[in-house]
Amino acid sequence: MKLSARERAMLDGAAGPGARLAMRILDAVGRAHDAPDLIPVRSAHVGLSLSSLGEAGVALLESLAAGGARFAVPATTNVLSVEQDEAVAGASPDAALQGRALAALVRLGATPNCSCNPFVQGHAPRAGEAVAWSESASAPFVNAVLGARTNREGATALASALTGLTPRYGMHLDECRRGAVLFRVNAPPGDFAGFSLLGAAIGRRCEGRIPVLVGVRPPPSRDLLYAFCAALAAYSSVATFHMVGVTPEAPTLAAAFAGAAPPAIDVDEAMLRGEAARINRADPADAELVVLGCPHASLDQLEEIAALLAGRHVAAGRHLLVHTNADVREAARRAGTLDALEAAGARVTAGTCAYVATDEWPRGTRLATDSAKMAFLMASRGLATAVASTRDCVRAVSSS
Amino acid sequence: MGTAIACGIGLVAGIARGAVAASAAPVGVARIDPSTGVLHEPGQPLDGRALAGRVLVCPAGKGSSSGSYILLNLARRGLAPAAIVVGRADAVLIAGAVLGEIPLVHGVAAPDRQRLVDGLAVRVDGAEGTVAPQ
Repeated sequence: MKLSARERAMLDGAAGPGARLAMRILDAVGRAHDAPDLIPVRSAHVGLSLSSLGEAGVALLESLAAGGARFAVPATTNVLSVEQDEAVAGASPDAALQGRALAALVRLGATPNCSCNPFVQGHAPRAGEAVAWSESASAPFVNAVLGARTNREGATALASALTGLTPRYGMHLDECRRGAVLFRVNAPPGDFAGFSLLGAAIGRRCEGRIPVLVGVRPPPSRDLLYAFCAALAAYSSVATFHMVGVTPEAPTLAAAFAGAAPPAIDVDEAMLRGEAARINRADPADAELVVLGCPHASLDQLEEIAALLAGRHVAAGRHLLVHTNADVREAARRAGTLDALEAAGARVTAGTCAYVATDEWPRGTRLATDSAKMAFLMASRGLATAVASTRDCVRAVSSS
Repeated sequence: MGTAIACGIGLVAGIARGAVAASAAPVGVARIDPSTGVLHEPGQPLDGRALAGRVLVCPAGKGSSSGSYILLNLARRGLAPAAIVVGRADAVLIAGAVLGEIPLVHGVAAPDRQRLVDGLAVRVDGAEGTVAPQ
């Protein structure tokens, strides 16, 4: 990989120890992927959950900040392992440690938006921009829906934030963004859970090849596309997809494949029902715990959940968690939606979720969710998970 | 010290010595317990093995991006693999090896990896990209 004189100097430490460490990561990633050079990024989305960083990760962020490193480009932050206000207050040892990670990132220059769904907060790369975004769910949305460019990043997003650079490979190359496997969607997935199951079904079947979908009508809302993206990323390693007539790089089938399309795999209602049956380890109606807002809910989704809860209340011994970020939670407070949700017994969290939380639910807990991603993650923790519509989830833990 | 029996591209510099822990399947480093260094990945040939101080040899990394910070935490506790030798290194493995200062050799073809049998004592040069018997 060819480095400019300035990049070489950063690798040699001329721009400080933080930039040197970041350049070591980017240089090695670029060499491993035969990248010809480094390219500038316009933004980064950086992970900082305590469950991922551990104590050593927190210490790393603090040492970067104390050493004088500063981000070269705008950066947003992913979810936390405790609620954002708890992290700021540092009420428990975990919260205090999480708060130190957040404070270090803010000192480095990050925006403390603390969300896996920064798009609803107005943080969205523009078409054609190269960026470095962590959080697997964000990559298909950035690439396919927004037409910007990111690989699936982890600690590399931190390195890109510190340098403003990323190696030119993968999603940054036109030829790596083309479709490779075709799915014909014959059944409208319908609601949030339907699009989430569609993402899981296709993620499982695409075997690492970039999927192209035809027949998705009408064009799905952003919330539905994000449900699809999160599940697709959870059930596969792909960083993008194409939805013909919907996503910007797929105006036609031929454009999605940059040539002739392969034979299609049919997606029908039976496949989506089969996907739910494969995921479900419990009857959703028996749930003790319902988790909504994976990825973090938009204001529209909070209003939909409040409407489903109208005249109902969460039953004794049952729990309804709704995850979002602090901006949407505040907007819901002003609109009266938050009061309605809380009065009905729902708990609306800001900046965290049940999976990244250090406070874990016991193994065997019966969990229903409208997100195939949340089901996948919590099943890996030994919970008895089930996917159902938002409405059926709400009804499972509430009564009139 | 013998001559190299496996060669690749050195991605993270450093000299390490240790016994090989070999797997024919990719390893999810995020599944290594950061407090013990033991891999918990059902179905993986190295499931249940303590990887601290071992030279981990496998085709590739896989799984969650939190694996990078797991390697950093392991290294800070002295529980990390001594070195990592792979066919194909992904960004998660690379970032973790840089942060944890774990010598990493990438692009080691299967015939070379097969010479690195489980338990063999080796010396890894992460700058040169070579593995030699001890």
